[in-house]
Amino acid sequence: MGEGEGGTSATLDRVALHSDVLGAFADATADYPRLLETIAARTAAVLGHFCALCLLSPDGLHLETVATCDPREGEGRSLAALAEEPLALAASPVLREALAAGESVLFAEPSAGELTRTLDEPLRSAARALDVGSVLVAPLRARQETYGVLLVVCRGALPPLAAEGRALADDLARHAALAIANARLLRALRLEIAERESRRIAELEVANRELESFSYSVSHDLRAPVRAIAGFALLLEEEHAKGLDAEGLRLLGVIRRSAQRMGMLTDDLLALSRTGRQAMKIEAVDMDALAREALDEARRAEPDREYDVRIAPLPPAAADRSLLEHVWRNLLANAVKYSRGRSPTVIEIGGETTDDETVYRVNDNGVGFDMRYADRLFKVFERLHTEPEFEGTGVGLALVDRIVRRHGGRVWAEGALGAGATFHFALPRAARAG
Amino acid sequence: MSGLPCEIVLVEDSDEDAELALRALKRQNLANGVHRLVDGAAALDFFFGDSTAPSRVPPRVVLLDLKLPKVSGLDVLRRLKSDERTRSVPVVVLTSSKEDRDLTEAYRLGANSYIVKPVEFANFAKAIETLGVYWMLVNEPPP
Repeated sequence: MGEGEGGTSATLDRVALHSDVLGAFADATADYPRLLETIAARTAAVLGHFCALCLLSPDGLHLETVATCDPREGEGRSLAALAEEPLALAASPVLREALAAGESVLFAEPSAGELTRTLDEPLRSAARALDVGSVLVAPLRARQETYGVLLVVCRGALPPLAAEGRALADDLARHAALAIANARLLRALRLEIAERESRRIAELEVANRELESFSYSVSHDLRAPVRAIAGFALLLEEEHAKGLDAEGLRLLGVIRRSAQRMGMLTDDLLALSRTGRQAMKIEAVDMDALAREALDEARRAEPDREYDVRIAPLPPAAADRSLLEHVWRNLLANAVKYSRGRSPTVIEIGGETTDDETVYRVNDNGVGFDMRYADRLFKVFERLHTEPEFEGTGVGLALVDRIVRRHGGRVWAEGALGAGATFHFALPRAARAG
Repeated sequence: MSGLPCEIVLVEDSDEDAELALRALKRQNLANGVHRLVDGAAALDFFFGDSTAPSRVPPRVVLLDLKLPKVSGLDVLRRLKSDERTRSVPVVVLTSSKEDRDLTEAYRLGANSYIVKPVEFANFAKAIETLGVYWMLVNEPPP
């Protein structure tokens, strides 16, 4: 490697080399250990001599060798020995001197020998084995801070680094220090972000559990007064109808129906809350059987209609059976409900497996829905039809969504006004409880 | 056991729920033998309080709400089922809670039956009537 005269091409070479090395440092900033190896390796390659990168310990009392590189491989062993012991600064006044100087210090003979003599064993023997001829100690300084030193060792009878080599070494040291400073900053920032994120997640989990528990208690405690309102209003109607005129009876009817509705809402909310909280038991579930049972149940509720049902054989799923029962029940009850007025009512059920999911669908030829509002379908209490048109609490699909998502799956729906709807849900093939 | 002989002991803190239950029992002509208690302490007192009285005919069934002031329904159940004198009295747990924990614990303690109080009165009435008829008329009491 040239330590001779400069000329234009030599200068350009150096510049190219320089930017190549700096590029390598920049690339490695995000990976701290790789950066340290890169610094040692590139310095050794550029200068053609053994290089060691030593960083100050957090307490500032030791220099720990973090990376070494010998441009002639195969000499690794003795050098590695040198590398493994932290050099106590106290043991090496020369190193302290170099650090304090803030610029590189060259130890040519005989001071290199002195340097070796100041080392404790086993470093002293290792340095002797290394056959240290001269050592350039370049401090790594950036932004008012010293991070450690770069050691460049010329072995045996090789001439010590001349001016150009030293300048190059100083340059490399300066940039290495900056790269180290940046890398540490990056690492600290990442750590902080990760910590904040996990704290935030923990907080959210707690808040979520509290909300679930709250919604459960509220729904639970509301049942008793709702029961009283409904019950006593009914008793009033049954036992004192004579004392009420038509208008009085009508008002009473409103009270009863409202209490009834409130009862349904609280029961549905309780069910929703329960599905969020109960433990899941994953097993092989016969989806075919579940779907058929749910369909039969739905049809029993509205028997005097003409049904045209098409069920393709359904692949089994790895899931919690009782929770999936809720899913089928809700989807099929909806299919039957919203296709009222259609004769025949056509309901199709199908399912297929892909690489990582099993996707089921329920399709009906009912009133459908406006796709513009598709994202509201699965939210709690959101409905796309009014009470007089179709009864319901707006919790059923939220339940389906909640259950499927707990399994790690997803739900979605397609529909068109007046042209029916298709509800899909996908479950991962590998069981995943959550 | 103290008090008049009675056939149904209803332990229920809510006056409204108690009234609804009584009306339902009345429909089946079972209301006369009902003795109502308002909390867990009163229940324990009723069954174990007057230990010097000659033993009376135990009730045919106890309808026990779980959520009670002073002493909880589960504690009352535990006492009833662990005491020789009352162990064989059928206890039907009536409650708002379908929570698995309560269900499991009630059965573990020896509840004979567990009914979740429905919100709809018609359903509630039907449940009470059905149990009344079952325990009073269908079931064979201990000799």
